[in-house]
Amino acid sequence: MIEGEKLHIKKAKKGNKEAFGLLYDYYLPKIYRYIFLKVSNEQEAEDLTHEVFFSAWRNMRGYKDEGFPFSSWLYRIAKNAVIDSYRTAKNNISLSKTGEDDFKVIDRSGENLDIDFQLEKIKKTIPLLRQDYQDVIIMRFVEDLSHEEIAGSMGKSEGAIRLIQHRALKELKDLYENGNTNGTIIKEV
Amino acid sequence: METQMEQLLKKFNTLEPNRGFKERSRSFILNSPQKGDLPAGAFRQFFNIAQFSAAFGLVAIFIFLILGGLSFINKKLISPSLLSGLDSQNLEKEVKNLDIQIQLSQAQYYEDSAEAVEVALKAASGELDKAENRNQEINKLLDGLTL
Repeated sequence: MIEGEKLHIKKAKKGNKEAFGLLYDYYLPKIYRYIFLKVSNEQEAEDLTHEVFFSAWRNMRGYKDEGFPFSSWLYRIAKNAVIDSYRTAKNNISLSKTGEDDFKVIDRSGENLDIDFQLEKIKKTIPLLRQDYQDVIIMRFVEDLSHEEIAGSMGKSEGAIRLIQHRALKELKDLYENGNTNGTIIKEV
Repeated sequence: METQMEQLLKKFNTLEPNRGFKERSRSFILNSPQKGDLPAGAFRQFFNIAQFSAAFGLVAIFIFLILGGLSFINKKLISPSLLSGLDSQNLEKEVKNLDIQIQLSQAQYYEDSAEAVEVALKAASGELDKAENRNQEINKLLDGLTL
């Protein structure tokens, strides 16, 4: 959480651009990563991330603190944006369209090509998981959010999140190692 | 104990959006109005309406003051006959008086005509009496001749 977040939120609700700008700067990479790992396409991820923050800014006056972190609200908007993009199918994500260029921003210092290969494979595996499994995997392991924060953004109890986390991780490993779950074949890179 | 998968997933944390995208998106969003904000032209439109209303109101007040002032001047300073049409009270009085005058003149007319009729009747009855007397005299003369 950003320092003085509640004050920034209060100001942003009143239309203070500077305050919302600080929230934007802090949460943009998190929301971008969340979306990028779900859609596996840089352009699509940028468009949806923009939509999320645009919607957040437009609806900032209506934001109510319900005891969950501000990030929970943003993740909820992001989740709906991704679902909407699937529904409208305006940009169907094709695994074959994503390449290693998507990972050019990752710091590779000290990493060998095997790590790159593994990351690429995981990146392509995550979108094959159920939506709630994807959410928990990204929020918990990529963003390092607490179970409470994840529960807040997904509208579930912390216990349910722990259970989903366990199952999601197991399914991700199965898909990664065997490339097969419920008859789905994962194409090797 | 952290699994290898968890360690790999953590590496995605270094993913960052393109700087150019970030700047463009940020600028666009922060220059957009929030929901519930009045559009940029709304204040100008409101100002124009207020300006027109104020002008209209001032003209109405001005006309009212002119009429009121003229009425006052007419009543107090100038001859009541001049611009008397502007004083509604005077007009009302005139109307009432006019009605009374009409009624009085009608009453006078009825009175005068009644008198005239009375005189005429009296005159007529006098003529009849004279004719009756003549008839009686004629009857007496005829009686004298025949006897």
